[in-house]
Amino acid sequence: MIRIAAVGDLHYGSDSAGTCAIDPDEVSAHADLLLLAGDLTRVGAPAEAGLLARELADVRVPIFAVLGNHDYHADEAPAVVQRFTDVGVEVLEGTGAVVTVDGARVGIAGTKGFGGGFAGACGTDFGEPEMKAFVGHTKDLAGKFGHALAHLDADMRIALLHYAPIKDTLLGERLEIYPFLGSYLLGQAVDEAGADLAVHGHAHGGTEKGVTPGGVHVRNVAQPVIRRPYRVYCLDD
Amino acid sequence: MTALPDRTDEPTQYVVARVNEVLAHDPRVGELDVQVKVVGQQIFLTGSVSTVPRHELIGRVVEELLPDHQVHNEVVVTTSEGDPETEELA
Repeated sequence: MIRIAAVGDLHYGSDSAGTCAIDPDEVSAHADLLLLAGDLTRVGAPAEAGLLARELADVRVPIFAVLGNHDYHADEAPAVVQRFTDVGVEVLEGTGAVVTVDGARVGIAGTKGFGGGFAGACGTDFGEPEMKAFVGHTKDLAGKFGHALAHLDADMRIALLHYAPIKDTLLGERLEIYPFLGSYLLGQAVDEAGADLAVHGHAHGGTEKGVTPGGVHVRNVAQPVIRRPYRVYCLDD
Repeated sequence: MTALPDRTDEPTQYVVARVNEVLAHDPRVGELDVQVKVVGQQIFLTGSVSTVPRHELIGRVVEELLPDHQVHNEVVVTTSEGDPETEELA
């Protein structure tokens, strides 16, 4: 049994020091790895990332993260990534990693992802350059992420996202903003590569549980949704 | 000559948009997930934020922006206490 702890949308700011609900001893006892599903900071300031990184430094299980839209706001994403890397958190973007847990190889591929909407009500890369850039960004990230997921040399695969890959887990959010909350292209990438679990954040008003059209479990672990320090999902190895 | 717009008569949906813009771009706040409802001279703020200071700041920023409105700050602070809860996925 592989135990995966996951949470997103911690939105750490200068007012957050000492408020991290992830107890390093507890998560190290309850889980085999910890996934952070983006929006780790309030406005993407490296100092905010540093505050959270310090509170994660004593976690003794591998930590993987993706950035979220908030983590890009200050245009200092490389420095934000560095703060997490400094304490051993591996930040994924169109990349994957494999860790061995009790002899089982667990692969994680991650991306921030982006919006665009869901089949039947989605944007198309047609017309103005800005529209092509918007949808093109999602296509680019989904393509690299799907490639990384498909090429994990692992016994089980986990997809780590910030934006939502399906609309089931957006239930509770306003329909008008679905195209800004995720894209079917992310779900399609998960289904084409195959995965045992996909986790995401971003949709604070959404619902925890859903499934891709291909049958992969999806969990929205945005902290306002799960209202716990993190959730733990157990997968048979 | 075209009259300058009278902000005391600003349509409600533009007031809502203005509040959302300020909450996103005010460097003290940076919040996208606050819902704003305007009823006459009253403003209701709902949604969730991560910390108590941020909750208080949101109310203060909207009061500064629209001093002639009564602000009801009903934004909640996300609770993240309790056991993490485990789910077994088949």
